[in-house]
Amino acid sequence: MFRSSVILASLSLMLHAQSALAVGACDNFVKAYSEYTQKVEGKIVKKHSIFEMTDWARNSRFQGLVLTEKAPANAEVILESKLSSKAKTVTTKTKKNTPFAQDEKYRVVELDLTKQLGSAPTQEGSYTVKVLADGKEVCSEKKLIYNDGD
Amino acid sequence: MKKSILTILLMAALPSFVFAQEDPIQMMKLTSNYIVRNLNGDQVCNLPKGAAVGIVGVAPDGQRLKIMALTGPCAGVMNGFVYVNYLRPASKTVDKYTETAMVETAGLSLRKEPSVEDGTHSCSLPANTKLNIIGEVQKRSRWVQVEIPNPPKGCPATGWVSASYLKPDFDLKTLPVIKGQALTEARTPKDCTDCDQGETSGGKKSEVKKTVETAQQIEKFVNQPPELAAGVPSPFTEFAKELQRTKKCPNPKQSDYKCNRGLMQMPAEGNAGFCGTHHYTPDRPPGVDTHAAPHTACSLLAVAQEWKKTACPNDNAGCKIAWGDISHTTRPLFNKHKEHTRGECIDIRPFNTGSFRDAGRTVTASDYDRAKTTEFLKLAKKHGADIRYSDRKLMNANKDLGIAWGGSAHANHMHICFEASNSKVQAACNNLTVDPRVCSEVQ
Repeated sequence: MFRSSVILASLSLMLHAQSALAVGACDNFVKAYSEYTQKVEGKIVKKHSIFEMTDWARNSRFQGLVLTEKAPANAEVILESKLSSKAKTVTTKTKKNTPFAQDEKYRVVELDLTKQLGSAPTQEGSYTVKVLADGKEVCSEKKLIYNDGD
Repeated sequence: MKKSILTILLMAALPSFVFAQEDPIQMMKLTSNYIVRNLNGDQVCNLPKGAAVGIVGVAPDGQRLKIMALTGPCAGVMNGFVYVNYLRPASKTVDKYTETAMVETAGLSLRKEPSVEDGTHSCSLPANTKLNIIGEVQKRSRWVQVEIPNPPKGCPATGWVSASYLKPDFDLKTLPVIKGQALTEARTPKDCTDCDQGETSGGKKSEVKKTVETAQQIEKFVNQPPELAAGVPSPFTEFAKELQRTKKCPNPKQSDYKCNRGLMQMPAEGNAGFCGTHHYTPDRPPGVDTHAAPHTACSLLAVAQEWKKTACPNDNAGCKIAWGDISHTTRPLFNKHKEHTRGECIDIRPFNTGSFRDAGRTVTASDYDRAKTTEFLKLAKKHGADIRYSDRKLMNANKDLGIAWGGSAHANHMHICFEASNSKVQAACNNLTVDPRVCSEVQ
């Protein structure tokens, strides 16, 4: 009885660990962020938003990426982008991250998304964010890049 | 009885009017099933998608066209108007009306299939090439199958093009402005404050007259002491000064860069915009992308102020207005914005539920607040806005807002314009009363 319980518990833990590290949506590990200013009682104060990664366009781009508490401590983040169907794929990766000054439970990934994806896309493309731990892919998420100008 | 006689007379007369005159009446096709209304907003008849109608004039707001139908439930109706966004120019080909358009962007690719994949390019079309539209498919953007009556050398007579690079083969300015409604019931001043019974005025002359009237209204406003103009003590001195400065660069002198092309800078400090709004992804140097035509500036203030006072007083709520590009001081075309050149249009993100987030979202996002977004669009419309957006559900439930479908490019923002041709917009500066408690930025 005791032995089977231990086996079940172990299996459950293994499955949980596997699902946490399964390749899929990265929302548990990496999010988008924007810092902004707001006037509060006549004074300009700094604020921030943290949210699920969005497609990349003039009206829906964001400042950068942060790793969540659930992300592996030694996470490596890869940003792959293809700005149009004819463009070459550009890949950048980093292991560097720094605590997010406005909320230290997040770590800012040192990748310049605006530089790589452009501030005002003019064509349709895509970008993919991958999180790796010890060289193994923890998750991968693909988003669109598009022109929403008119 | 009266209507039957009228219908018979009309059916007898219209075909000859349409096809025999030297300058035939413009025909257009409905892009969807449509409830035709008079200028008062009363329903007068229904038209099915694809119905061909004659266009006999344009309403004073510049957004609705007066139609004449040859057959069907609207035949004989003389006071029906349809929003221009639901109409596409058409011409008679053999036995039916076919939608027509012109190439707006030189070098537009004619393709074998509705796709930008390699191997689909057939040839490049010069600007102003006339096209008959014989089919369409909606992907991320609208693609249309075209027939080219006079194909350029090396181009086949048919193919596919992206509809984003086409313009109507038709100029609204050539239409007479319909100021009243013939054969309609008497209206009260409340119903139609701008309209005179039975008047029709010439197209171009009316446009000029309107521009002059607008300029006079703005002049009148900026020449008044700010206190009087704003209607409150200690009003928005800086805003009035900015209007005053802009007056010296009379709109629409869009080429006058020394005077910011006749546009005035909307108040914004970092992301903190006017009247508690949020300005996302500002360009550098700050303020360069926040320039609006004077009449639009007044409309934006009026809408933002009313929104904050009546619908969204909490600065940290998801209904906070988040806006992006308006127009640029030195670059009429920036960020590929064809419709942000004159300072009359602004991009606004859809609202989200819960707390404010400085984040982009589409109409399919889990945090999208459709109800609040609808409420805002109703307010904008009340102030004379012309709206382009891509939320089918919202549009179907609010057809009276006359929202133009914006394709996939407008699922993440509302494209809202306050144009000088709209009487409400023309009057925006005169009607503006700023509450310094709400719009402290414009004092």
